[in-house]
Amino acid sequence: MVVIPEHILKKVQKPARYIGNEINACIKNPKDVKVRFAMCFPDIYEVGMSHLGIKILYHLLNEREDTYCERVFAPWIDMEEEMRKNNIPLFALETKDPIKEFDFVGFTLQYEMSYTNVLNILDLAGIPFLSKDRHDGPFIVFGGPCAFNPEPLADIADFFVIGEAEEVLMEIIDLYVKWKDSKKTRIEFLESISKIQGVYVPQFYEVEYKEDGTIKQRRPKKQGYPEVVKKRIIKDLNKSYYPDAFIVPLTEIVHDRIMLETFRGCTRGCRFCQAGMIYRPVRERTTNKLIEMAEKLVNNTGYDEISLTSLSICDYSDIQNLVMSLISRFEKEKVGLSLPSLRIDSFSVDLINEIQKVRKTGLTFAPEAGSQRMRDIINKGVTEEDLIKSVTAAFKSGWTTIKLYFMIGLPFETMEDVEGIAKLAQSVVDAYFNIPKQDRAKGLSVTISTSSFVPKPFTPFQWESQDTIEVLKEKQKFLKSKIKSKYINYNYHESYISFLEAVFSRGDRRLTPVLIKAWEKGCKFDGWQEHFKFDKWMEAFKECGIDPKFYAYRKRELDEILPWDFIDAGVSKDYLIKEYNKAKEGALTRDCRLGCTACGITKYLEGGACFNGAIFNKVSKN
Amino acid sequence: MVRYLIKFQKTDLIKFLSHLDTMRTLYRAMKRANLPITYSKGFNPHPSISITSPLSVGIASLGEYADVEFDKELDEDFIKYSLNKNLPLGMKILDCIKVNSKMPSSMSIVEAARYEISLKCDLESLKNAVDKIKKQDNLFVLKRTKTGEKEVNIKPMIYDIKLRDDKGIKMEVVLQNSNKGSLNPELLLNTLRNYGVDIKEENITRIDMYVRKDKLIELDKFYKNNLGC
Repeated sequence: MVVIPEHILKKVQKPARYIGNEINACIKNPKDVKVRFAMCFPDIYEVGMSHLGIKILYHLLNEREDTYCERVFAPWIDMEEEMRKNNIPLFALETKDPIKEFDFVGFTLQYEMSYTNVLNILDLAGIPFLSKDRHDGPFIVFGGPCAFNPEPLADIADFFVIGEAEEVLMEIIDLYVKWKDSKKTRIEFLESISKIQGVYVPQFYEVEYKEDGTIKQRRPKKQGYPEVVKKRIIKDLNKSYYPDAFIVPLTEIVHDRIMLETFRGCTRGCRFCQAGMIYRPVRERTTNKLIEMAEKLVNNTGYDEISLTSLSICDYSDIQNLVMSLISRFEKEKVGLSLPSLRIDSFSVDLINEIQKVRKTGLTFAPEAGSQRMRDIINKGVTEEDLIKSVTAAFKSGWTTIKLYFMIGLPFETMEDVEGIAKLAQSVVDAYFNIPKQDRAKGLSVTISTSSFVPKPFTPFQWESQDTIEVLKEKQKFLKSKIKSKYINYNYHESYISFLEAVFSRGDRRLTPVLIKAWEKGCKFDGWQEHFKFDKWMEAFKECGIDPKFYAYRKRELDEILPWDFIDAGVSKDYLIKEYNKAKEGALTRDCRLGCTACGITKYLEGGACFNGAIFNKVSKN
Repeated sequence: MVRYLIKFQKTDLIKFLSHLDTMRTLYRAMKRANLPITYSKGFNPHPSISITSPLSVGIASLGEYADVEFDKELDEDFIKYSLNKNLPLGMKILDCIKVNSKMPSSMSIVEAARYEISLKCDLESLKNAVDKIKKQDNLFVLKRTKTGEKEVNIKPMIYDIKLRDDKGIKMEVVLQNSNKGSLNPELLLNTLRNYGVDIKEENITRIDMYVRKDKLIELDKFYKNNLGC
């Protein structure tokens, strides 16, 4: 056990991040278990503790008598400094034991800009970076959405879990327990789990490149290693594990509330959206099940807010009933309800009205693109009319603060499309003033936020180039100049970070040395603007002889072997190509609840059905 | 509505919770315990819990207090018991006292707090510094405030300082702690540092809080004996 001297805890900001000891944290005697698992989120406590995935896996693993799962987060800069100065190895929050002694160290990869934090955590723990340098100690495993292109971390990982981890993790641990008692080698363990669907062991494959830098071929080193790694999904969410007592942090975290996962997957088919593709098919929990879950969670956590989570919450087939039932069930106990950002339709405004009967805080809409042409290209099936109808309803109900999310740098975008963002925001302002004074509240504020488009694997735009940093800056400047109203504010994300995101999201194995080099130069917390060191990154690329533009700016040919092609995410490449071509024509693809669009997931399901759990007669055209 | 005064302690790692963290932790424990918390009326209802006096992060306490209100009367021991079942290790309810609703709030009448401070330093230089402080009529120090730095006279806020050598150096102080101004023991330690005491390590525990009625009376005794009416 590591003892953190009190004078250190007194010195650092927010020491409650490092003390553990929370309600519902799992306490076990490490001597009583066979497997110790360190569940790491490569960012600070407040961010990591807000993530649903690791909450589920943490409690699930601890249901096993033979396993003790503990949590690990990245210490903030000040704490890291103290730990290095005082030779304190990175410890797990529950037992404060160094994680170097554990059997598994698992990371969830939620965004590419956390990769240097992964290295920093390994370094603080005293664990060698490269799989080939680890002859004992924990196995390093990665999962989460970024694992769908595992290659940039290929030399670091012992293995990856592709897709939803609840079942596959259990299978892996079963095999590990057997392996631990045998005298077999680490390779033999990895060979045994490589046969499990959803497990990828990168060292079992080699990649050959062409002279132009693209992949020539990729092959298993031995016969029997799977050619294709198929993602895992949970077939029936109503039967799958969900914790009934989340850990309640002692200090405030980013999402400090109960998260009620209503469904997984999305049927909209927005062409930029990776989550909408890789989490298919849609699987819902029933309203009854959700209410039952909510009751237990409210009782066991003491939280006074429930947030309904999913990709596109208003698409839940029984949403009205669910919302009304939860409100009436918990009103007396003063437990409120919240919804994450919304698709535009006036139905959602009515719903929100119901939820926030009293407090009219800001409303967020995500039209994603400014012009209709552009929204058709990305298959965001909403119109200006939808937005104006919704905001008008919102203004009439007393809202005055509207946030609008957009992307710039989308494929095929022109300056006119960028200007469309300013025009759309202006029509929101106009909609406000078109309402008679007595029917609206005072204090209009419209905020435009733009992020820069990053092409992602397993989307129809995976072949597209990203706009250069210069072009993106120009577009930001142009958009700013087109905003005339004093009621409109404009925020945008730094395009430097988006550039690096684009490099790693579609990167390959040759990026591992760059990552290590950048870390050596002091890069960490890259997702935090104040810590992002673009010049250090560029130095690292240069010293490793890697051109980042090759990954971010290069338009791929459709027949190029992509680094992630060996992964079967369920959605077929043919479908992605079809969607890509439709995007070029600005042709829409319908929501697949209205009729199958042949994305390939039904083939993956081998006869299983999409929309498991959904109530069909309630699926509307909206 | 029925009012209660709860006395609780914050020890071990829990002393690293901030004032707001402590509030939240108490509130959630009450919710988990299913206690009938009273909420304020209005658009944004707040639970009726107010901690008597904030405590700096890193200071432990054996005598924290909070005023709470419930919608119905409950047995005092039941409240204490059900909260203790729901609090994290290191936070513990020591007492729960039903309070006459005519009594002033604890926040408005608290006067002073007693601290025990364990120190690693040279005893002689500490004794000298304390003697000097005791002899002075005024003791002006720079205090950081929201708007910048301000010079304040802390001498009238020091009610008592005692030193003892009992398994290490212990300093027991009673400091003003009221809505007219409070002296943070850390500020006193910094003043001692300025008087040449080389403090290598410190460990502060708030022992209790007091009301002034001729002499200092512990808050729990004050309410238990209905001394305010």
